[in-house]
Amino acid sequence: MSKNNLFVMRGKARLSSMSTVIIMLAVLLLFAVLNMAQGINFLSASNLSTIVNQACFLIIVGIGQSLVILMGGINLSMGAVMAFTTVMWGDMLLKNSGIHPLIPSVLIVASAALIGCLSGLMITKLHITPYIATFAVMYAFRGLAWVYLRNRVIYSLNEGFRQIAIGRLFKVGGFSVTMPMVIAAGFLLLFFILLRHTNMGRRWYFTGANPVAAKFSGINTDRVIIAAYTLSTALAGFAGLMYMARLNSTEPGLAGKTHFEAITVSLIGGFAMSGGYGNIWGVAGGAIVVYTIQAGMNSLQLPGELQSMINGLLIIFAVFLNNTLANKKMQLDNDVAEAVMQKNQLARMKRGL
Amino acid sequence: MKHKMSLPSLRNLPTSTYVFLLVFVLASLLVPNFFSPGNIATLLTQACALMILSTAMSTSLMMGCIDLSLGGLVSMTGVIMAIFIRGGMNAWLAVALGLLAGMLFGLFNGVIVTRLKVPSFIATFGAGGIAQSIANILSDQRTVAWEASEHTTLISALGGNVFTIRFGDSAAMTLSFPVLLLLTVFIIACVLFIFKKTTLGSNVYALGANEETARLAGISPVRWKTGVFISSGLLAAITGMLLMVRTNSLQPMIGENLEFQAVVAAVLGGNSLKGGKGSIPGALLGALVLYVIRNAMSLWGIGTSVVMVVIGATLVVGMVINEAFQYLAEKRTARLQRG
Amino acid sequence: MEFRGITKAFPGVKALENVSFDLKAGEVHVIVGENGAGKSTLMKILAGAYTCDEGEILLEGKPIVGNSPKVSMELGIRMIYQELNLVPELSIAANMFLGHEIKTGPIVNKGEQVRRSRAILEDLGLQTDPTTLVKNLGIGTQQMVEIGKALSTNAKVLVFDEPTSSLTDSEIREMFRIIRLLKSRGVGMFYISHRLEELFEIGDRVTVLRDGKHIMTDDIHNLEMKQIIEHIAGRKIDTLYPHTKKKIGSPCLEIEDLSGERFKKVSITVHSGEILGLSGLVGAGRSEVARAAFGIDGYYEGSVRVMGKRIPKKSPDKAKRAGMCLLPEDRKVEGLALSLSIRENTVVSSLSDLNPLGFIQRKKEHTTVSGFIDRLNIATSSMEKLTRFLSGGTQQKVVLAKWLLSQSKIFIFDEPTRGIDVGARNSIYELMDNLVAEGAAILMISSDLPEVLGMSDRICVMSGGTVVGEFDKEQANQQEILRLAFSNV
Repeated sequence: MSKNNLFVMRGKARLSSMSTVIIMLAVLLLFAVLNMAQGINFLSASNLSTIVNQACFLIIVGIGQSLVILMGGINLSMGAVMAFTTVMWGDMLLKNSGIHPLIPSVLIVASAALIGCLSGLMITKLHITPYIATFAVMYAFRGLAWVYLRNRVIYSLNEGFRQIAIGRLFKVGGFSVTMPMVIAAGFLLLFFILLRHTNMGRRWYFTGANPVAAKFSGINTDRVIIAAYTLSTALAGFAGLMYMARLNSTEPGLAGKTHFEAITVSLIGGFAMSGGYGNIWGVAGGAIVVYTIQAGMNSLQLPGELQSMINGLLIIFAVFLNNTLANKKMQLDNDVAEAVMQKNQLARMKRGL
Repeated sequence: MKHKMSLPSLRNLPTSTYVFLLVFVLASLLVPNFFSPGNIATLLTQACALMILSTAMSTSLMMGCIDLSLGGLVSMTGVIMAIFIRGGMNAWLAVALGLLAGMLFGLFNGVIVTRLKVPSFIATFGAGGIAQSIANILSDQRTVAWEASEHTTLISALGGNVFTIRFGDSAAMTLSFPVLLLLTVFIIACVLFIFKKTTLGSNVYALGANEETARLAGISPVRWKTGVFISSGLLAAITGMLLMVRTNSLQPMIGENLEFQAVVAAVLGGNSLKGGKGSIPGALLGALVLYVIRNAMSLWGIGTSVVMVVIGATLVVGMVINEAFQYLAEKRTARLQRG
Repeated sequence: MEFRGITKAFPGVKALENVSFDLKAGEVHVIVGENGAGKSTLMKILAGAYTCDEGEILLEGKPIVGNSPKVSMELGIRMIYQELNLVPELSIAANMFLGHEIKTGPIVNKGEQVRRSRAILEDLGLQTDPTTLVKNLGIGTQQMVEIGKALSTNAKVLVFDEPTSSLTDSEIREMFRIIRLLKSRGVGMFYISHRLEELFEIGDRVTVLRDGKHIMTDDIHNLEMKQIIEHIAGRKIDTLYPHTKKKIGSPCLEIEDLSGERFKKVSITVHSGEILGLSGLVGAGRSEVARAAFGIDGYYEGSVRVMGKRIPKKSPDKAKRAGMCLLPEDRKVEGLALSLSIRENTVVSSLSDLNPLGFIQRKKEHTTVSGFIDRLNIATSSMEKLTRFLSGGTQQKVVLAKWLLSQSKIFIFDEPTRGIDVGARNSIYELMDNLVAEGAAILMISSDLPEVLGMSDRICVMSGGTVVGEFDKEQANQQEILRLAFSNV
């Protein structure tokens, strides 16, 4: 095994772990070229700023979804919880409600967390598959939102509160840094540290990779899973705040497809449905991919319907690529390690002789 | 001997039987007009689409896959048929083309799952989005309707009734047996026959229980999985046709969320998302549970939003009941094994 | 039938190198070797699941062309795998004819299948109704069905891959009876097993494989156990079971009157410095007691105490903190997260001790894990290697490292060497011996009687969910243990 060969193998292994980045760059490049042909500068700072800003909303639900996908589960209730919680407490956020917006905000996130805890309990204590449990929650709370608000719409919200979604902080070149960007970056960093650098995160990955072995290793897996669903749904609650602040309104039909989008973002971001595999930064990549496609197709004036088609194809392709590359990486890493060991053994034998 | 044989089959009833009986008896007792020939026929007719989809879904689930593209496929095939009919094509041909489109799309699913090794959950999830957007693009997101004339005789024939019996004067006491229901029963009977009498059933269970075992027994996972996805596509297309006939037009979003309901029906019917167990009759009963609730509550004059809440709750309760019965069954087996 | 120069390479590994030997009709040919020696690969090539790179397989003098599961099956080559390969939701008859149903046109003739399966079952001396669903059968009967399945195709060559690893003694007897029956009918059989004792009982000739190479083939009666072991390991092994003199101390683990779904009023006490062997038949409730004690499953009544302190029900985390650990039988499912590395698997139970502030300290983690790799002699190229790429013995060592790191004092081993080859076995025994010498307490569940007799200081026997007897090391003997094991079935 030559040294050169080893180097190439290592490089390949590294490349294989970056499928999300590859997809993101490919998509950006594709639309840049397509738009260039029409004389539009797709990669202009202001356009990029718009894309990233929009993607930030998806990053938050994407993180939430990734947390449960990491557990080998799924959370279909995100959109419904966003609608229910904001509808439930939304009146307190109206312009002239006279209540500090922080109070309803906390209430919204807290009640979302409570609903997530309920899903977690159903999954761990009643042994209902996540798909079915969160589906039941989705159905029930979407229904409750309609029952509660009927056909009314909560409209015209506190301007100060709305800054979390529409606030602009400063400009670098043509790129404006907005509140959602700061919030999303904060969440990404927070969950990166939580998942990669704490005992808790280590337990989460282990539980996701093999819940039975986790239990046999003395991890309270029920608590881990309940925590994952609670946090995931709480993030949905927070995303609900941001969506409603952006729209300046909320209604029971809010975020009808958000759980789909969140799953898409998470899968493109490299999380594996089987659990225990994925990198939180991938969520940012996944969200940007989804919004790049949307923005790119808009500026090319292609019908919106084509977008969901492209998204569908992209999910399939991304997972195919992720799977193939992840397997390849595992094999390559293993080969590299074997090669190193063989080399060391050879060296030892020579010394022995 | 005969007596002995019938006992185990009774014991092997799908667990959803109990949930169904519970819901049905409750509805009959509590809701006036529920237990009347007219209403039962209406209920069954409403449940047609979901029952057919549930057979497809439970077959996929037993095999260890899931087909989330069913809803999108219903929309897509429905739109294809409706557009051809609107364009003046003979209804027979239009329906045939729709069915063909459904099968082709099923083939697409099968290829992605078996060849590209993308998990079926994701492959069909993506494919469902693709199918739905094809439906929306083709129809321009508007309901497709047509003028009834010569070439649509098939549609009117299918939309009619086989027979009508009057037990009384009121609408509730009039039993109309629609052709659609007959067709549904026939299709389900065909699927059950094929499942039970050919190697399909045992192969599907074998693939769901352990794909490697199946492969070593000489069952080709690629061929059988692709085959099941193709037939799922066909069944989805038939559902699209039923819905088109029932409303005499086609709304392009008609299939939305149907795949979820089919999963719910199948899971209520004892299927597991992990594969290898469950049954088609169980899934059919699961579908009926959903429609009994829906029908009873609408007779009671309760709004659809409350129905959503109740269905969500039923799902949880149903799962718990299923689990309880399964636990009891396992306990009994353990006793039998020891004794 | 005959193997000629079979060679097979996987990426990075040469699994088989120029392997040649033959099988006579009506012979039981035993194949032994360490894990990774190439036994399973060879058999998979025979069954058509893999194709070989070089060499050929001859059946009755003619080479097999077009290697695939279907071709092998048609030629009458059938495997009986160590994991049961039956479909639980189907009947015995449907399982027997899976993949080669009796059909008229596309319609399966179920009546005929049931008739034929009944004939096959009766031939094997079983009275089970072939319409019974497999999920309702015990493991032993399932194994018989598996053999029946092979016979339904007129098998000429049968391969048994560790068939007895999950069977009880009486079921093993039953299976040996059937193997002899088949032998008298001229069926040639390969028999792979790690239990060397049973090889002498059933085998005619033995072949040893090591590192993908054919070491020797000889009549089994010309050989002694010790010779075979040395051929397998490729070195001399003095005694398989180390036993240093130990000081037995105070009680560490006290299980008192524990009753659960599959066991009743079980009381077991393990002292520090002691290995307590828990013997009995499979299904006697031993693993269930261990699982309940560690808190994986619940129990109805009774108590579990560690160092006198009561451990609450159903909380493995509390049991762990008290110093108890359970090394499960099924390492791949219950012991390790196969998609994670050795490092991550080793530290998972000791995270709070390693990083009291809750944040991972990489450096500390690295030094700790590499310390354990050296101490336990874990054969790996790197601590980042995923555990799925490790052999059974190495995997067991990683599980052990996890619990040594968490400073456990009470080790419950459930079948510690199941599926582990002789060489690695020996080193696991030595580790267990060292542990008790340092004052740990070990509760060892094992179905391997020589292992129980060789390793334990005290032996408890369970039968039908209760403890039926206890022996000191000196008084214990195989017959007496077996008699008790069957006493309460």
